[in-house]
Amino acid sequence: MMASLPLRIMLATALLAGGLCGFVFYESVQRDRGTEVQIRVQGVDPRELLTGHSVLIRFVEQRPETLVCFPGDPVHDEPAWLALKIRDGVAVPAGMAGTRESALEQGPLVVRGRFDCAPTALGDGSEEVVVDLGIKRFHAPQKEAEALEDLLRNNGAATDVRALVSIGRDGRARLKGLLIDGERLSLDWW
Amino acid sequence: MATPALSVCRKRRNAAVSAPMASYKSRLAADLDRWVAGGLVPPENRAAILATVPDPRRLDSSATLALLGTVLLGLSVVAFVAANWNGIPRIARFGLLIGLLVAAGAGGALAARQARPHATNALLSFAALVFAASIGLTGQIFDLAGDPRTALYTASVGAVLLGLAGRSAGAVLLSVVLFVAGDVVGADAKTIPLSLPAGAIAVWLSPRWSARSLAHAGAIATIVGLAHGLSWIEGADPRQLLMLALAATSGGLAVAAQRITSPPQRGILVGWMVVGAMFFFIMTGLFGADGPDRIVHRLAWLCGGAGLIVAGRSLGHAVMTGTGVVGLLIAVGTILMDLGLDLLTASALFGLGALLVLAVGWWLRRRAKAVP
Repeated sequence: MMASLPLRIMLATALLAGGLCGFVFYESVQRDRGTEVQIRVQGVDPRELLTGHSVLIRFVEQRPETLVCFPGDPVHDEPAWLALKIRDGVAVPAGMAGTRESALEQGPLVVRGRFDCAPTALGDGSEEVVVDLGIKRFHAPQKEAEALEDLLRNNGAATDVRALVSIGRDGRARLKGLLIDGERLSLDWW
Repeated sequence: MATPALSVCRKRRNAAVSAPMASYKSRLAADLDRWVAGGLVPPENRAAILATVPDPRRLDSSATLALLGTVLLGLSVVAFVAANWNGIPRIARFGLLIGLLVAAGAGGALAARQARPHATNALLSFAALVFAASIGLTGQIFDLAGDPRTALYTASVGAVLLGLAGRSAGAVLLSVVLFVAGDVVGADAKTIPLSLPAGAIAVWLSPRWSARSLAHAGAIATIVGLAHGLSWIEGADPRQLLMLALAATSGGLAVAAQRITSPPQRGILVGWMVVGAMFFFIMTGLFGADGPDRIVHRLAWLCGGAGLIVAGRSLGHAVMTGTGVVGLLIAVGTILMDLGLDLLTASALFGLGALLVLAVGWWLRRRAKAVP
């Protein structure tokens, strides 16, 4: 027997609302239980946070000599798996592959993403590696922006900014916070 | 003192102002007066006939002000929340979105229970909009990385779910728009265009829900979905062949749409499919066609435009006729550019086309006269 119109509407609404809540809960669990790594961030001007707006971030590393750029992988332009290794406490790219298993052969940590090599602004032939994990910006509310302002007042100009990224079991990267000159700024959800 | 000319102007202005506002009942009353005066309707039936037509719903002053006040209050709340958005805790922001979605859905359910279809449609359309916005805002609130195409498709599915659950043409319309947007965003990827099935659903629902907007949306979605197939092909020549195939497909769909029994939906679908066919055919040979291929294309273009004009006039289909006219105009301009404004050659080509068209017209007239 077909449900009445009002009941169908409420069921559909509940399904959509429940779906959104379930999605946020899933992301929260993956974020909390994932492997936390630090990735160097470029292009962050912490003072921009004080406006409370979104901040664009880029994950950039100097290209290690062992890392092969444009490996000729046919999935170069397709969604890929990025292999990471830890060097001096920072996760750096170790390779890229089309499957998770292939990426694990190149590094102990794998995450959905890709990297591209680009010449540095120095113009001396050196290259840098730009990592794309799908995280391009974050939003800092007023409270967190004020906490950062206190950090800056105490520590002066920031020189080392790292993103705290959680790699979930599904292989996706989620931003947990920032590490600014060793001081942790968590982007709490609750 | 008002002059006679000024009085006439005032009467005409008042009539112009009041004519659009006249309801069906007032127009019927005026018609009845003429019919009674002409002896076509007995005078004693005038009141009974008018009584069968309900009075038009009008908003009185207080209801109008209440509606205006509600809109202003809504704007005030939205502006307040937006101004303090970053200051609200993340979970509270998310709670606001969920609350708004549930409230809109509950409002739609309540309106449905009170058998108010327009209010139900409006509220469910709003709920679908809130859901679509919530997907993006949830990503912003919790700094979640996401794929824009996936977000658009998810919003589309939510909108179609609300639309089908509550018979809301507005929500289904939004769903089709979002599916088309998702296909456009993923135009450079070799993905299956979801605007095709979405368009088909909209077209199927349009006569059943008496919603012309769904016929328009479904037709446009079909054209976009067909065009999306170009992302699967590489190379100029294969793409030209595909566009020719798409033109033929659109033309075939226009013919098939003639079988639709509901006149408004039939006219809408035929019109859009004809526009799509003309567009794809023009794109087939606009760039890259050389030599004999170009001449054939231009000739076919001229004949096709003329044919559409004839068919449109015959079927009484204004969009078909208009497409033919526009197609012809663009064809003439394109031919002139092809020939580098060589007017002598253009004159010969247009003369040949004119002879052809006149010959066909003469033959059709002879055939019509020959039929007893």
